[in-house]
This record gives sequence, structure tokens and C-alpha cells, in this order.
Amino acid sequence: MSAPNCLRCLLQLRPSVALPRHLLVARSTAAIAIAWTAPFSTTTANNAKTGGGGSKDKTGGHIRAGKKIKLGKFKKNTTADRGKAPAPGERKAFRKKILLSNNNALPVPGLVDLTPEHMLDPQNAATVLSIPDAVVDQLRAVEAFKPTQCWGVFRKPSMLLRTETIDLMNRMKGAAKQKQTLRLVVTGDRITGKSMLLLQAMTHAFLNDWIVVNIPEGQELTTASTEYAAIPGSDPVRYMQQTYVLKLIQAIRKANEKVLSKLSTVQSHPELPQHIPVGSPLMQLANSAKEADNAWMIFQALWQELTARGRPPMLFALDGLSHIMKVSDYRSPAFELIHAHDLALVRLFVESLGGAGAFPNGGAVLAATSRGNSPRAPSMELALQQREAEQAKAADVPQPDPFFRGYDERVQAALRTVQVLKLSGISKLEARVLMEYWAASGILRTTVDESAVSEKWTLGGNGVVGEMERAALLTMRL
Amino acid sequence: MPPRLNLWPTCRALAFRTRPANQWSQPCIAARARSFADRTSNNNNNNNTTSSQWPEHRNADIAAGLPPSMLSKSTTPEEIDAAGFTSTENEKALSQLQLVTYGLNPFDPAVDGHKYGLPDLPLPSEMHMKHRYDPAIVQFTKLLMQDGKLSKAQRDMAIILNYLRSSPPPKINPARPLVPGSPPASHLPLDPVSYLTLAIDSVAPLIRIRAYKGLAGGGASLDVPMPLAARQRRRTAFQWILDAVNKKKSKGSGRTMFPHRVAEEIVAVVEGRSSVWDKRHIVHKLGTSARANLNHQAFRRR
Amino acid sequence: MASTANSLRLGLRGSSSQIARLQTGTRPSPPAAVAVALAAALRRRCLSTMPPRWAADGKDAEAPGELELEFSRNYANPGEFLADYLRKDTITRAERQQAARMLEQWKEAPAELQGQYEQLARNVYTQAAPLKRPVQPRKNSFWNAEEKDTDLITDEVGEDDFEEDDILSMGHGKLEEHREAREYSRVTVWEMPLLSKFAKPFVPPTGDEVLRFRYTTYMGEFHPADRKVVVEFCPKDLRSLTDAQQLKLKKLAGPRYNPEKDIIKMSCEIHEHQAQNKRHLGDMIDRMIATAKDPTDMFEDIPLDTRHHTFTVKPKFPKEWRMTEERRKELEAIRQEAFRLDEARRTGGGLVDGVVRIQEALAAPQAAAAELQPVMARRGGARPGKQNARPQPRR
Repeated sequence: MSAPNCLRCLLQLRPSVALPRHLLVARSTAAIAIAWTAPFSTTTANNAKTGGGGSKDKTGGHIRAGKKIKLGKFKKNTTADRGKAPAPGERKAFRKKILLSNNNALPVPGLVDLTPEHMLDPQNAATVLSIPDAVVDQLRAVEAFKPTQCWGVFRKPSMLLRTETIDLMNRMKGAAKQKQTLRLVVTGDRITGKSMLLLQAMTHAFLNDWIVVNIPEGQELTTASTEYAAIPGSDPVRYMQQTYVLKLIQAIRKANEKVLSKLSTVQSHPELPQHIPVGSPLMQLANSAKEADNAWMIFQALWQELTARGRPPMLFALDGLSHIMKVSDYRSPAFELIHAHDLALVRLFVESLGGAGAFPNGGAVLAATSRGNSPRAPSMELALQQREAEQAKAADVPQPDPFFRGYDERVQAALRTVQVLKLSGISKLEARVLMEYWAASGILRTTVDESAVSEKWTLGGNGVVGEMERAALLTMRL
Repeated sequence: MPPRLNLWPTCRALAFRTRPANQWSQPCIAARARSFADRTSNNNNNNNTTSSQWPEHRNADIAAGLPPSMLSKSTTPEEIDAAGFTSTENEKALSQLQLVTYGLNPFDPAVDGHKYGLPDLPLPSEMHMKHRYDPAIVQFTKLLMQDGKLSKAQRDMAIILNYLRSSPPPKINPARPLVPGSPPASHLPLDPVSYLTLAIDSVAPLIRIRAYKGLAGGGASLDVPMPLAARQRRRTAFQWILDAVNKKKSKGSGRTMFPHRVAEEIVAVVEGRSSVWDKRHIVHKLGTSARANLNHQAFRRR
Repeated sequence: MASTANSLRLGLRGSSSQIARLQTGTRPSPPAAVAVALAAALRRRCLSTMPPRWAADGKDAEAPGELELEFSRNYANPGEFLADYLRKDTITRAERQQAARMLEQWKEAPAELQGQYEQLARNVYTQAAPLKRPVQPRKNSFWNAEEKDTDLITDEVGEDDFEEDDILSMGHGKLEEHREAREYSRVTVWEMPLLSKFAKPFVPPTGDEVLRFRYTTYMGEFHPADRKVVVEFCPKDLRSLTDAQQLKLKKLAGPRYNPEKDIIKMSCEIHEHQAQNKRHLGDMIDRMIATAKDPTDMFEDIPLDTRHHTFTVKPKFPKEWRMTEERRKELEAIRQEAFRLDEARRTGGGLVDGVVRIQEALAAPQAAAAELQPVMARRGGARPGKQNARPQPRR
């Protein structure tokens, strides 16, 4: 504890050496006089305030206060500014923001836009081609781009045509030519380009004037994040998701405007509140969906029109398959969990994938699994493994575990006849082409020679594209 | 055993002066100084005379790698040879001198006999695990790190660099000049490491104010400006930036939010919009006014 | 306070322990008469926290009385003692005869010898007399502190002193180790070869001996686990069973079946003896085989349950990855090819270099701008190479 009296005050009692001798006597007598008038006391002197003193203490003068305890001395000042709080949905919009171009990146010489023929020619395997601007808008409308993909680093959205891509495009083309439906599930390890392959399929569809319906995330349909209601008169009870369906109709309309504007209705839809006569343009039907209440009805009408004979081929795609291959988070009025296949939109997709609702004009139903965000769906995994083994004509097809209860018969049935495309790493040639594209864009600051390609290819787990991107683009070594 | 003779021990005794040294007023000191020709075992007169002929500043010339033409004429190797050194150490020293006459460095370790030679120094940074990244980037990454999660900090740093790479070129405010000699603004996005380093170096304070508690008298502290090393300056600047980031309200969500905010602040620094500049200005101003305290009584006594 | 408690404790110990000693008679080293007298004296002590224990009627009362009878008389010579002994009527006949014979011998002994004996006895009695005298606690003594400690038998002073005539205890320990090692060496050399007489040649089990039993012994010690018997067998070895029956046997075995090793392992320790347990296991296996052979229900609808077993997959180094001479050559060829390709691209201009690309791209607009704007002269000349260098901090 510090002394209550200032040491300097006490020092003044002592005669200063520097003082002239004749002053010393007077000074000392004065000090003695002070000492006499103020004898030692344990209480502090209660002096009158001198005024104009430097000290702001209430004790005044040279009386020092004791050491004050300051609480929270080491706490950082973390008060945020009082700005406007972000509006509802703004934070999520930031998270989901998709940048598709970077003006700083260098334009790649010799980069050409995709044409419908490009994606069918096996000669074009291992080339990087850019997506035409019109298709970019369409893809954006169907939310084919994902925020985790590295579009925002390059000048123009471009993609690598892999061998698998060309193969899939040819199968789609063949199926459409024979008015058949290609039903296929894309699987593979993490970040091997499953969503990208879906995007390429959609690009192909848009380039060939197909109708594209895309459900960007299966998760959005089953995690009880959108409104739902039982469809009246359905037995067994099905559930519609009006808000989501409205959004889907708008996406379909926006993305397929070029195709839909040429088509007109061939059926009358008396159940719709708005009268749409036969022969009116399809866009009118799509535009009639203004609010969520009748969205499901309009969607049904639109679907009937789109699957009528004489329409262009259709691509129905979904990402995150395992989310719709389980019991959803929705509850029935009896507070029982609703199976995802009882949701009408999911059911539509699952039936198309399972082969029940074939497209008369041909087309493709594509689904991609997700490894990053996927709930466990043992039936789906087993079914896909079985289909894969059957395709490869393997001797031992994986059998279900007889003592495991978690299998789902409906899922097994839905995936009984699908084809499976398993993606893995890209070849070294493809890796080289991709890295040359990166380097030509000024993003990869190395010489792309065999050793560099080999290094990144190996770091990326034998050419897993996402891992290669992480090793080359999302690194501190630029 | 005679001492091992080469030029090193002699050179160690040298004092390198930037200023011209005083003239040799007492040659006997040079004679007393132990030169490389000294022999402790056989100390004859002849030896002493030659050692006095070899004053130390010649050695300094050799050690400084001066070309042999600049050496004094009076001390050529032939002359020393004529003086008669026959031991192996002396022969070695002579061969080293011979190398000097050829314009080679006699102390080159590559000459000294390494089986596989020596690697080129400095080692290429990419080949060393600890020096994979730019040192400044490593420092900033460590400052970004929380709870020892270096991997997360590295990912954040990669996101920051990618943001800098994809954001439009900054509009540089002439009132807030960057480090002189910096590349033009349009060049920055394609070199995000330079971009970040430039931002930090430009806003880094030159000094810090050190408060000597109670030195000013009456319990008042005495503020004295202290110079900062380059690493310290960068650290201070980055901490300021992080403080500014923490004080701003987040407009988004997700794990990329924090690095994006840091990156936005760095762009703001380069464009001269950031409040960090004011901080730097205050510190410099305070340092200028506290400059007088360097002559304070308390320091004079020391 | 403390001293009072301490003295209380001392008093307690002195009285109680000595009384206990007297009553049980475990320590008869001081003569009993002395002890009795001492006990009497101690009983008179006023300060004791324990109530005095009075001798009860019966056996306990007899013991001090008998002692008193035995040693109350001083015999001058063995003859007197024997004569007194013969007067007792509690002794047996043989004892009486022996005593009588000894008395005869004593009487026949020369008088000189008898005199020596009597002298010896007198000496003993005179020297032992002070010991027999009851110890009176002194009047002014404090807790009888001056009393000699007669319990101290050995003289401990200087006992642990090292007399420089022996090795240290560690040395003794080391020697003991050597002795032990030599002991076992002797056993190894001389006795163990003799065991070879008992050696039997190993006869591998025949195809009929499919059961492998395991017993536990604890080398003669009792142990609750020594009765346990474990049996292992492979269902495939039971050649009388068809494949379907073997599968049924595995299903019957349940969690006792190890699917990785294809072995059924059972144990029994419910009976008291090993042989009983073994018999139990044998009967059990017989019953299982009989059930497996029973065709009424072959359990075809039940799959073999292996949930109890964790299959461990040990990754092995792949054979293809081994660095053989061919592989080395192959790799070398791949590298040569890569180098050749790179060289071809480098000379042909197909090699893409990111840094060069950036430099070219940055130089291009500058070149265009240079025509429009006058070039600022710079002290020390332009440093084009430094333009892309990272900015150095101001120092």
C-alpha cells in the first residue's frame, strides 16, 4: 500500500542543499512552523482546494490515492459499430454468393466457346472450353453453379471436358435420339467433380435446346425448411411444397425461356384457377404461377405439358441424392415423420429416376450424390454399390447385411434399375490441360511442366480435381 | 607441433574500420603482432624481419577479397618464398596466396574439397518445408491464428489472397502514399502476396511510444519514441488491421466471412480509407512530439 | 497439557502391559515371584485409567498359585528336588521310575561332587536374590523413572559398527546372487539332462482327433480358474457332417464361432473338477453334432450371424508398389519421356509459364501507355526487373 502522504511533501521539510545559506535558516524555521501547526496524524489533512492544480484527485494537492483496481484491464475493446444490421436473408445471400468472373485474371488465348458438337466429340477430351454467356445465364437461373466451386478466380466460366463428360453427353444424346430416358446417378469420392458433371450435362442440354429442370440441393426439400401441406384428396397422403415449387417454376421459366416461348399448350387445364385455353403459349402457363397457393397445381399442369408428345427432350437433375433417400424432417398431422418419397416433388423425381414416369420425348434424369453434406443412407449406398457391381459384371454383388435394420425398401425399389457413373481422379493429361489453363489465366504462378503437373496430380490424391484446386489455387503460395 | 597456419586467425584479429586508420607511428607494434608467418618453435631473426614487413592492413586487403593488383608490390609471394618457409602450413598459406593472385577466393569451401560440392545458398525456398511460403505471409498467418489452429488460419489466408486477386485494382489515394517504389495499382491483383505485403508495409508505424512509468515526475510517465524492426512494424500494422476488422459489423455469415472482412480492410488500407492510417498518423505525431524526451535528464544520467 | 496426557499414556502402558504379561505367563524371564510381587506393587498404583482386573475363579486363578508352588522353595541340591518330585502323586509311573533311578545315582555320587552342586546352587540363589526382591518404587521418584529397563536383553551399543573385517551388505547380496546363479547352473548341467528320459516324441493329431483342449494349472496351488477347460475345433474337420450340417453347426454355436478363423471355441467351468468340465464339453459337442444332423429344421431361413465378430483388415503393402528393377526402369523411362516432352514444348513454344504470362500481360498495356506518356527519368536508372519485386519495408 502506498503511503498516504506524498514523499515530496516530506522532502520539503529537509533543507535543500542548493539553497543559499542565508535563506536556509528562514526556510527551516518555516518548515518547523508547518510541522508545529500540522502534527503527525493518521487522518489525512483536509486542506482547502488550491485551484488550478494539475491533480484531478478529490483528495487534492499531493495526497496520492491508493492503487486503484481496474477491472477488465486486459479485455479487448470489441464493441462493434452501430451500423445497420443486415436485412433478413442478407447474411445467407453473402454465403451463397456466386462470382463467375474475375476481371483481373488474364484472358486465355485460344479459349473458345462450347458448341453442341464440342461435347460429343471424343477428340475434345482433355480440353478446356468456356461456357457461352447465354448458357451461363441459364445455368445461373437453374442454380447449377455452387459457391464452393472456383469460378470467381477466372475471367470467364470455363470447364474441362473429361472423358467421362464426353461419354455421358453421348449417352444423353443417344437416349434422346431413341426417345428414351437415361436414368443415371453420379457418385464418386469427395470433390471429384460430381456437381460439375451435372453442370456439364445441363450445359449440354441447354446447348441442345432441351428443357432443364434442376433441383440444386436435395437438402432444401427434406430438411423441413420450406412450407408444406397435404395435397387434398390424395390417398395415401402426399405433401406439396408450394413455396419451393413456385421458385422452381420461376427457375424453369427463366432458364428455358428460349424453348418455352416456342411451345404452346396441347391440353386444357380446367382445374387451374386461371383459364388457359388450348394453344396458348407455355410461357403464359408458367407465368400464371404468381403465388405459392396454386403453385403445385400449375406445376402439375406444366409438367403434363412438358411431358406431352412432341416436346423437346428433358433433363431432370438433382444434386445431393442422399437427402431425398431417407425419412424427411417433416411431420404429418399425427406428428409422425414423413418419408421423403411422400413429398410430391421428391416423388416426381424419384419416380422419374426409378423409371416409373418415363419421358415420352426422351431425355435424362440425373442425380449426383454428395460426400461433404450427406446424411447416412445405407439403402442408397448399397443399391449404388450393387448397380455398380452389376454394371461391371463383378462376380460378387454386395449383399445387404441380414442383421441390419436401417434399410429402406422404398429406396431400394427406386434405385433398382438406375445406371451408376462413378467419378474418380482425372488423368495426367487432363490435369496438364487444366493447369495450363490456370497458368494462362495468370492464377498459377509456375511453369506447367511434367514435374509440376505430377506434383499437383499426386497432391490431389491421383488427380482428384477439387484437391488439385486446393493445392494450386486455394493456397498461400501464389 | 607448429601452429596451423593460414590466413584466418590473423584476419580475426583485424578491426575493420570505415574511417581511415591512424598512421603506423610505432612500427614495433606491428612487429610484435603475431602474423601468419610467425613460428613459435623456430624463432629466428630472419622470420622477425619478414613479419615486420607484413603489416596487418595487407591482410585486411586480402580478407576483403581485393584483387591482387591492389596488394602492395613489396609483398609478392616470390619474396616470401625467398625468405624460406618450408613447413607444410606455410606451403598451404602460399598456395592460398597463389589462389588470391589467380583472383580466386582462397577460403572458398568448394575449393577445400567437398565430395559432392556445396549446395547453392540460399537454398531455394520451395524446397524447404519451413520456408514454403513468403515470410511476411507466414507472419500474418500466425497472427490470424486463434487457439493454435494453424490450418484454419492458412485457409483464411488463402481466402484473403484469393479475394485480393479477384477484387478490382485499388484506387490509390494520393493523400495516403504507399511505400515508395511499389508497383502500380493495376499490377497488384495478379500478385496478391505483394498486394498484402504492400498494404501492411505502407501502414506500418515506424516507431512505438514507450512510456517510462514515473520518470516524468509526479507519477507521470515519460513517453519516448522507440524505433521498430521490420517484423515488429508488420506485426503492429496487422494487429491494427485485425482490431479494425473486429470493430466492424459482420454483414454475412459462414466460415469465409472473417477472411473476407480482413481482405476488405486490406483493400481499404491500400485505397486510404481505413482508420488504421489515422492510428499510424497519431503514433507518428506523438513520436514527433515525444522526441524531445530523448534528451530527458533521466536518460542523460545513464 | 501435553505432559499430563503423556504421563497418562505411560501409566496406562506400564500397568496394563505388565499385568497382561503376568496373567498370560508368556514372558517368564523374570522370576515369577518377582513378577507377582511387582504386580502386587503395581496394582497398588493409584493412577490408572484402566479398572484393575481381578483374577476370576477357575483356571486363571490357578496359574500364579502353581507358579508360586513350583518356585517358592529353594532346593539345595538335585537330590532334594528329586525327593520332592517323587512325593508328588500326579506323575506317571515311568517318570517315577526314572526319578527314582536318578535319585539313586545322586545318592551314589561322591560327596565331593554333591558338595560342588550344593555350592553352585547356593551361589545361584545368592546372586539371584536381588532379582527376586520385590522392587519398591521410590518415594520421591517421578513415574519411577530411575527404574532399570530389564527388558533390554541385548546391548545395542556399537552393534552396527563396522569392524573392517567383513564385506559390505551389498557385497553379500552380490555373492548371494552368484551363489544362486551357480545353483541353477548346477541344476542345468546335472539334473536337467535327466529330464530327457521323460521326453516323448510329438505325434501330430490324427484326422479323428479334431478337438483341442486347453487346461490351466497353477502348479499345485489352488485357483478358481484351474478347473476351466477350453475346447476349440473347426467345423470343417467334422467329416461326418455335410456342408449344410456344418453351417447349421456354426449357427448353433452362435457367438462362439469365429468366422475369420473358422473355429468354434467353447469353455466350461461350471463343475468342480477339470475332468467333469471336460466331460461336459464333450457331451455338449456330441449334442450339437446330433442337432446339426437332425434334418427337421436346418435353419436355412436364418443367416449366419457374425455381428459378434469384428473383422480386422490389415492393409498390406501392394505388390505392384514394390520397387523392383523393372519398376525402376519403367519410372526412369517415364521421367525421360516427361523430360523429352517438356523439352519439345520448351523449344516449340508450347510450354505455359504462369509468371511469364503475368509479366507479358502487365508489360503489354504499359508499352501502349508508354507511347502516350513521357517516361519519367529516374535517378540511378530504370529498374525494370524490380518492378514486380515485392515491396520492401522502409527501414
